[in-house]
Amino acid sequence: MQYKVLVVDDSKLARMVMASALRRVRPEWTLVETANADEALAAVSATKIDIALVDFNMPDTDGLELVARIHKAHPDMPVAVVSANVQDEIIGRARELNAGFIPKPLTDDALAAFLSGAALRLKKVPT
Amino acid sequence: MLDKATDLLVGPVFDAVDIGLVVLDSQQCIIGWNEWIARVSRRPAEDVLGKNLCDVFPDLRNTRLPAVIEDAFQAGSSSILTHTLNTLLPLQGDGGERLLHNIVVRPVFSAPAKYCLLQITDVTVAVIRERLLRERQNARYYAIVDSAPDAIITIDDSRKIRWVNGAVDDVLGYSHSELLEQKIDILLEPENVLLPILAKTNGREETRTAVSVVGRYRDGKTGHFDVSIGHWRADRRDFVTTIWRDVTERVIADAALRDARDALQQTNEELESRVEQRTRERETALRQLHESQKMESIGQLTGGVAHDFNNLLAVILGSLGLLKKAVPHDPRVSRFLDRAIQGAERGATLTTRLLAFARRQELKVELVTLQKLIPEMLDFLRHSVGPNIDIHTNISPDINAIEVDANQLELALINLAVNARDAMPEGGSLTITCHNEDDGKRIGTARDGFVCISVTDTGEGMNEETLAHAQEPFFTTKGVGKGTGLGLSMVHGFIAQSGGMMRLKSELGKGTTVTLRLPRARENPKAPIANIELSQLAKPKNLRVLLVDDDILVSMGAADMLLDLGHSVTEAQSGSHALRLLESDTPFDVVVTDYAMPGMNGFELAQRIKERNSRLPVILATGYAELPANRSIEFERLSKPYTAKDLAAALEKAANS
Amino acid sequence: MRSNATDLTEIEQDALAEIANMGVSRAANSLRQMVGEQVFLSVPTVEIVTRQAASKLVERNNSKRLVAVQQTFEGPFCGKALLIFPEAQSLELVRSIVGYEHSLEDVIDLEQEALAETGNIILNGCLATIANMLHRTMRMSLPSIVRGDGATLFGNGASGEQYVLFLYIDFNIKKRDVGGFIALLMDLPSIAALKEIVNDYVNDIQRHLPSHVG
Repeated sequence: MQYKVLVVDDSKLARMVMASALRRVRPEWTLVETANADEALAAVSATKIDIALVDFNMPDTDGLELVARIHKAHPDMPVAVVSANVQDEIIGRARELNAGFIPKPLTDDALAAFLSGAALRLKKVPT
Repeated sequence: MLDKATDLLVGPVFDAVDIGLVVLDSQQCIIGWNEWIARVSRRPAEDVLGKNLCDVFPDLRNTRLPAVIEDAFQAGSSSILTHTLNTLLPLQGDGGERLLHNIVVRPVFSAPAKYCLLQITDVTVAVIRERLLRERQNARYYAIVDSAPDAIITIDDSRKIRWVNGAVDDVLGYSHSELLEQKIDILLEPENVLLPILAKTNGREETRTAVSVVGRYRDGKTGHFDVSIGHWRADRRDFVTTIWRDVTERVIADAALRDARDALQQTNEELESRVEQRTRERETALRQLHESQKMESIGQLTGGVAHDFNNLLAVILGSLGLLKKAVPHDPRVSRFLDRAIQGAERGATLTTRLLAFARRQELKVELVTLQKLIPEMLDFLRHSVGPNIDIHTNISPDINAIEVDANQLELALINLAVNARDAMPEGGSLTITCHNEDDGKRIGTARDGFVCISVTDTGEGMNEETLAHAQEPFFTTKGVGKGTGLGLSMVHGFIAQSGGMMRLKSELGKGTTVTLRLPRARENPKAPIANIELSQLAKPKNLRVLLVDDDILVSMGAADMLLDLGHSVTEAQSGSHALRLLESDTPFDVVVTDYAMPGMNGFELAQRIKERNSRLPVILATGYAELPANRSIEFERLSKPYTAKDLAAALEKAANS
Repeated sequence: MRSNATDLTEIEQDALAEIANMGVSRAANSLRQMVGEQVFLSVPTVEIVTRQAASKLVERNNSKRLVAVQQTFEGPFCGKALLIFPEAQSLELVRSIVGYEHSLEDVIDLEQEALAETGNIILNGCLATIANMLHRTMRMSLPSIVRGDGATLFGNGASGEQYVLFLYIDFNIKKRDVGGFIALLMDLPSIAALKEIVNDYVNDIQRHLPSHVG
């Protein structure tokens, strides 16, 4: 199964890290890179995004709020918050939004774990 | 580092130091546990060596320590965990007291191995010592500060209240906790003098004087405070301690005092202006009083005349009555008599009314030169008649002076002028002339030597009938509200009282002339006059006569007679006046008194005189039917009206008795 | 004036920003453990400036009374790490961590230690992150506290440390805003070394080499 993954992060480096990890973990999947909330929402409505990975600490954008908005439009899309900020409150809020949490610095293992889970969920949903 | 030769020392040194030393390997297992830490943790080394630190002290898992140790391995970080922010190991001192401790975590790299060293230091003593020191200082401080009645508030350099004493409740209404962390601004009005002063921290700014500030109580009301300010520094931080004393009462009292003073000053000013006003009012009132007094005088003049008139009428009526009885009944005679009686009765009615109106008072008689008086009152005359009337005067320069009440004369002239004005609604001219007149007989009086004042107008004039009534009191041709009808009669009364005469002359359509004749002034009015004509009677000796009569007119007439007869006269207007005169040193030979007088009548007076001085003869002058019929009179009687001859006779009789 | 040695390329800038972001997040995580409530952090902005410029930047709003927690670091690059606050804010920071049950005096007593530990946590968070990301080990000193104005904190450059990796950060702890700076004061070789290491890191990623997390 090929899936399309949206990455939202204002840091080019972080996007590179993500892309790099994704290539290693799921080479056949495609990646859409966006740098802020507006771009992300535009991408979601323009193309069919399967999975989203959202940075938490972005200037002018609340990562969690973006997650909520994506879920409003696509309630079943697997989404994860990616952040070095692993405070309980943030993890908790992610859970409430039915989103996963991947700590930074990103490890291949952590990413792989999330993506497996995401793929499973997607298979269950009739497309 | 330790010299190689002393490698052996490491062990003993490790256990000798007075801090805890723990060495962990990269699995966080204990590979070094020194004596100190063993003692204070009550865990001997053999119990813990080789075990994971968190297994030995499970509570550590809730602390930062495990993560920090991991960081030391991973990143080489050195960390400090202080007792203030962390609760770490359960350590006890020798006496079982809890040990407050800090832990320093350090990576120790002895390639290729990595270790982590924990240094545990006991800070209890230092902490307690500091606390004790502080408490000791505080005790002293609190004793003063908490017992102070003023509110003491300390703020930091962001104006947040950091410390307050107990008095803030009494002084400002706030509890301790309500003020902490608030900015001191909540106690102040937006524009206040305190904030800039609080901000000043240039060196040693020691303000010794308190600042007057308007502050806010908890309930929002404002009050006045004296605030003392002290800047101080502690621990490299600036604070300001303020002491608040509520002086609202004093300020209110001061303000009240000021207000009172202002009010007093204002009252003073008001008082002064009121006094001014009253003075003016008084002057106006005085003027009005004067006016009314003048009016009274006029009234009294009229009253005097009316009274005399009444007397005369009584005589006439009485005589007529008798006549009617005595004369045989003849219709023509009856008609004449009836008409006479009617006339007299009508006269009596009129005089009754006049008397009701008038009151009696004295005239102020003085020498008046018309050459002066009339020009002086000309302005006022012009003002009284208005601009439409021309006033001309023709005053003969050689006219004699006259003896009259000058005010009354003025008023009489004004009265005449006003009448003239009313007779000339379209305007006209008024002429006043004055000249001497010598021939008394021509106008039917016994006296000669008059000054004649004529007031002539070019008005409507009066017909014969009007002329006949003109001098009657209350007679007026003027419309309702335009004249009381008393004017001419008053003038007439005044002139008569002054010993003169008034004549009216008028022609319808041509104008009216009112002529006033007043006797010339004598040079020495009170002294006996040299050119008195002697009567044909035997020249009696000069008697000093006390003449008592409340009626001035009659009194003057009688006085004239007496003077004519060569006697000296003193006039009294009442019985009591007469008695007073008799008590004085002035000697009198005879008393001639009127009977009908208010207060004490003539008879009573005579009796009183007799009591005091039985030898002083008293002559009672009475009108008809005045005396009670059955009275035995021991006093000489003189019937009114009497002639000079009657008077002389009575005097002789009295003097010789 | 900027010298070439310290110019950052876009990607270098991006990398340092991301590292700083993660470092500060890590510090926030540690603080949160102590505070018990979520600690909010702004996203820091990163730049490299001269020492003189830095000493002026820290005096923004004319605060010349500054407090700094200072740690030295050694490794592939060395220098001084400073966490700088205006004096008034430092007490705010401590109070927000220590809690408000303590009276002012207690806090003043505690302040020195608490500030040192807090600064230690924050600086360690940043430095450790740098070390981790760049796969390097460093040695760091214990914290000490320095007070003074900008010039005092950044010294006179006698030690040759002329450049500052400068971060603006804003915390919000227990509804208290605390704004300050993190400054890594380094000499030219250290800056150069840092840049080199950053570039290596970026290249590795671009080449899709697995990232080492160790």
